[in-house]
Amino acid sequence: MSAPLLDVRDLRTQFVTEEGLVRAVDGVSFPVDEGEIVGLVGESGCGKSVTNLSILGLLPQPQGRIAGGSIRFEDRELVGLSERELRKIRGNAIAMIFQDPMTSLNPYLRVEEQLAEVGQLHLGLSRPQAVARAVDLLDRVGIPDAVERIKSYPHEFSGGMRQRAMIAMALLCDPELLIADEPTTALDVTIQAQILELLKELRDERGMAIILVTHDLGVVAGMCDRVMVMYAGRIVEEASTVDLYATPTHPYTKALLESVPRLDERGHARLRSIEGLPPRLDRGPFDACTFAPRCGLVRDACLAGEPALQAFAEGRRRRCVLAPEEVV
Amino acid sequence: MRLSSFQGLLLTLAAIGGVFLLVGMPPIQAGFIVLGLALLALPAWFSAPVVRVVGGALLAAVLYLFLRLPLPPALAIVLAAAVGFAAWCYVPPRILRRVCVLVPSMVLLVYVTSLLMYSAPGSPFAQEKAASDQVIAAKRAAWGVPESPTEFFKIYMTRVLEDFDFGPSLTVQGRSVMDLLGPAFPVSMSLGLTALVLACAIGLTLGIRAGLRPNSFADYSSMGLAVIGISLPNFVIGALLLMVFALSLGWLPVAGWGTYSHLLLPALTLALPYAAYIARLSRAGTIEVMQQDFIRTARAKGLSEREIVFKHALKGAILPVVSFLGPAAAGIMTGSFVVETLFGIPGMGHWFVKGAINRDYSVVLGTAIIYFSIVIAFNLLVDMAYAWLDPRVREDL
Repeated sequence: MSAPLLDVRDLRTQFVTEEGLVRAVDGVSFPVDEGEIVGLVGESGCGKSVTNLSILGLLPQPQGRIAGGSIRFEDRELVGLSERELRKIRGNAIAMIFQDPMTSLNPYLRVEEQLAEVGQLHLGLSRPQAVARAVDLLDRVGIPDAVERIKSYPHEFSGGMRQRAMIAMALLCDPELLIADEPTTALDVTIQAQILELLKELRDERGMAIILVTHDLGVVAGMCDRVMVMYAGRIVEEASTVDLYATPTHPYTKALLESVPRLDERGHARLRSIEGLPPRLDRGPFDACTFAPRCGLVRDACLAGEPALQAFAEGRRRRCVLAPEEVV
Repeated sequence: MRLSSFQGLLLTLAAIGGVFLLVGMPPIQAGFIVLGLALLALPAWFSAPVVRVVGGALLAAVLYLFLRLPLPPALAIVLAAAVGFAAWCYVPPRILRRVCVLVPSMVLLVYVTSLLMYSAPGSPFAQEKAASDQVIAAKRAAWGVPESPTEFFKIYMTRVLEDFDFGPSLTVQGRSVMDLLGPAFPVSMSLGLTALVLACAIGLTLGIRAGLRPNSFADYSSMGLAVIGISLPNFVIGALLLMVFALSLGWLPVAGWGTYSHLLLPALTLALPYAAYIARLSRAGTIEVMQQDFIRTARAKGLSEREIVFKHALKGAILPVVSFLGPAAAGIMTGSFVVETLFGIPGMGHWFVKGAINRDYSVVLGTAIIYFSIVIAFNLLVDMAYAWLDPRVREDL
């Protein structure tokens, strides 16, 4: 088997704040293969977005830094790469789209300007060539009358159209990897489905890999080949989507799945939520399972030390002292 | 009971008139002010076609007043009518709506200023040696300054409308207001424009630099300078500049007017406090913009920091400065008594102060009209600049 497209190993990202050192990502490892859609799931503040910002070297400065680990992308080490070299990769081989298309596009510039500059920067296109390419892509992502609409300002677009424009912008240089950070969270449900469908089509068409960050397990089910569940800056469970839904083996994954509202449930059962809050990451390192205070199955072994992330079946890893059967 | 906005307007006007009457203002004066305010507010209810007709007509009327002096009356009428018609056809209603507001507000400005001048104690004819009543009455009649402010307003407006004459100065013998302010106006304008450019250049450079790296040395040093600029009075700044650049180094002349070297020190003195405000505003604007999501998007595209700042952040960062520039420009253009006195410059600031102290009613009105015109002109410029910078405000301008 060839090397994966992206290989994150033992990534540790930290923030220096006034309250102390925040270990936002603490020892995260995962590969992403070509053409694969990988889901990154978890509550707010569990380190999903920080993981992705680390990959592109976009951590807020001067507080954020990568304290350890390695990120290999196509046989290049991204950790420690100069800003200049990273800029050549950003928007080019690795592109990113963000949660809120309302605020992620520059309100002061025409869509044309914002799209064309990517082509001019990375592909060395002339302005008219870059605009032509941008029009093609807007057309591809389903913006009607793209030749005219490209001259609009973002506020003249609807939310769904803005996210389509963001996607077109990300695809302009045919990236090998697209990082989609909660791309549908700010959109209406019907628009969400359209955008996700579009992303899937584009993956099939272009063979790019996608890292899909979301807290919505419904989105994951329809989209991803493989899912990683994150908690408190760690991966707590990893499995193929099918396996994860059929047999969640970490109490946190199980609790997450139980807190998804279901249409087929009879009666008026109360929607379950996970009691309590994730641990404060400035209190680490931890000497017990980070999920123990909220876990329904907690026992003495959980508090004795932090469990390691262990492979226990083909393509499956989990971070729990209990046997898989005890959880399911 | 809910009031429509029009009823609300009527109620407000009635209340204002009532208060004026209660504090003992003569009914004619209160009535005139309320009428003026009503005329000011009315264009808000005009529909677009009405705005275009009224605005075009007012524009033509004002233009006629200007044109009729140098040109034969028939030609003036034709020209003014042509421009009015062109405005009716082509000028967007939002600008004509301003014209509808401008004309009554100019008249109201003159009237209210007259009232205020008359309510200040003393008169332009008060002297150390008391003159007899007959002498005073004769002087008042000769200069066109009767006892009642409303009468004065009538005489003044007639003079302006008929001859475009802003009257004789009441205290400078043998000079008209035009004679006094005419030469001073271009002096203050050139000094003011230079100062404005300096203020923007210094303020924006310091402010944006500070805003890009908050809490750094660049930030603290720039903001320290800004605090000094705001808190030091300009006679201190001016004197310091004079000591260093004119006396010690001898690079620039101490005082006077006429060459570019005369312009530099007073312009700098005038500019520094404004530069300080601009620096603070643009720092805040830059910090705000750099935290926006679209800056993160720009980074994720692989743009360099330079491109991010100049192409993506700059417009948003200077918006707060732009809205400050309207009133600031008016203040800076009309001159400063202190700076003019310090550097011996024959500008308008002198007449702002002297007119008020001497109760020289016609000079005060002249300066008020100039100030008002500059404020109006710059507010229009600022609004246009705002629309140019931020496409989201274009529609509702």
